[in-house]
Amino acid sequence: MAVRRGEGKTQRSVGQTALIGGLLVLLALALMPFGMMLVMSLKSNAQIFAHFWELPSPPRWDFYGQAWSALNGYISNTLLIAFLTVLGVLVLSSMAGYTFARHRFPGREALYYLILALMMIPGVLTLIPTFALVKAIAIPEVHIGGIIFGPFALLNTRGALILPYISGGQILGILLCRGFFQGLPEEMFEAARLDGAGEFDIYRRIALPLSKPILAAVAITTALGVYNDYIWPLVAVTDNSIQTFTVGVTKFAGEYNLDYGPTLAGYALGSLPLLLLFALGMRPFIQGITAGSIKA
Amino acid sequence: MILAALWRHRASYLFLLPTFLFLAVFNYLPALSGLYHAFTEWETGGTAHWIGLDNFRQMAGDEFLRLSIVNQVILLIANLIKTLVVPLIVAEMLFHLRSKRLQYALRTTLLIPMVVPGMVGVLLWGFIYDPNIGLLNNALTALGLKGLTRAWLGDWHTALPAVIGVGFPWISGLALLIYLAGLIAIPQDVLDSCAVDGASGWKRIWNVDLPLLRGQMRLLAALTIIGTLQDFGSLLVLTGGGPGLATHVPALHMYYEAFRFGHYGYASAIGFVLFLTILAFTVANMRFARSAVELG
Repeated sequence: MAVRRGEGKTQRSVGQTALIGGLLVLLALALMPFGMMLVMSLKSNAQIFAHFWELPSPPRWDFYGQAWSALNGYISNTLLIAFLTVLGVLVLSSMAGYTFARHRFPGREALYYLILALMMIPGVLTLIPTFALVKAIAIPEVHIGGIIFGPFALLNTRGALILPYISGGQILGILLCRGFFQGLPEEMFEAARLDGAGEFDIYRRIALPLSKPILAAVAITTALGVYNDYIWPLVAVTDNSIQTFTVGVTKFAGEYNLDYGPTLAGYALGSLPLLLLFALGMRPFIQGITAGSIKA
Repeated sequence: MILAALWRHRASYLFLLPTFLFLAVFNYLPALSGLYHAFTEWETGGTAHWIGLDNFRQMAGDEFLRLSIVNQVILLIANLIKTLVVPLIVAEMLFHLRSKRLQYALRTTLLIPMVVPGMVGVLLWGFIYDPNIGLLNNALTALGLKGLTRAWLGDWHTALPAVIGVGFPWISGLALLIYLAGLIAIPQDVLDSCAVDGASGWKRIWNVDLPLLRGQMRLLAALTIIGTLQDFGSLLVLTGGGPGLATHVPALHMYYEAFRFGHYGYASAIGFVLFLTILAFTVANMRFARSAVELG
């Protein structure tokens, strides 16, 4: 919003031009590394060494093919893990957030503060114990009545990533959902209760459909967090076939140490899912953040 | 009596059961375990046994740890400046634009870097700093400053500054959104009375905008401190803490001690101290907040 509102004609004074110019320069600087990434992803090594500043000729589109075949496993894994995590987080956050917001029961405040307290606990404290925990959740082979169960180990499975992600992700989700549900008018719920609706039905048929905006914000924040996480997948998963993109791309960058084009193409490809996520969810995401920060 | 009350509200507790089951296993248990194991000797493949404060005594004498703390302080200060200053300037610039459409367009394009996964951004900057085919050295050479080229991440003197330089021009999308939201929330009559009183431009920014943005700055400062103390993934990938100890930080030390040397107990102690540090900063932040509210 402009400092002075409601001008009929926008005047481009010298000040405004300077402002716009400055912002454009900053924009160029901010986008420069990514522009470089796109341009150089199409150049062969020889091109990069000999003709650094020129456009690729010929543009090596096949580098993207190489990068894709190397990385698509990682990317689809990450997307699957993100999807399942978001599902879990949405279910748990909305249920708990709704309960804290609209139910009254003994210990409600205490339980909520217990959850808030968890936000104080940094990842560095829980990294090693969670690793030990995941390693410990293992069942050896068991024979019962001629049927063989297991062996099962949580370490090095997708579950090792998904379960902690869901548990951690729901904390912020509960915070956001509770805030949202508190803002709803009580009459709606009163009417439903008078009509004899059960608590779960009220949650499912009234609260949940109304909460789509906040659920979108929670979903995007969670998905972003999962996609970007590096240390936990690095530590909990060693099998390349279920590894995530962040870890996979560093391995890829290492292997292709000498082939810069495909490496950069890989970086670009890995950005595509997030690009899609933001394109679809930019608005609810910004609304969620700006609304929350004004309260702060 | 209490049991009767609990039974009456059983629906609420049932709704919260899945949430707390997850939290108990994947959050509370690891947190308590982390606190406990800081006081134990615990190596891979072995069992933990209590040794009281021995881990902490060892930490006091750990040369590597001491040097890493120096680096950490430098990084903290640098990151605070990066988060508090640059996005604020850009937000003010955007705020002063007369054209609302232009403001929206520029703001959206400035957020594009958020689309790129964090690890990709880090790897890209590793590429920019590459001594042979990196953007920085090639740009310096093109400008005739070949003497300034060097191995930015491999040189002991420039490694830490190079790490700080990552992300130039440091326009954090999150910070930008939060600041802009705060500026837009300034009531129009406040701005109008400033204009009437002749307080415009820098005077207004210094005396009106900044004090009103204190809440946002505090939030961002807290997030930055907590984030910087814990983030070692990017350092692991960019430099591994090197060359030597030039970019080593306590969280990275914790990681190496646990996952390279297998000293889980000692690493837990480091994690414990990091946790206390983060807690101290968070509490100080809240105290600072309360006094600011009372004064202002």
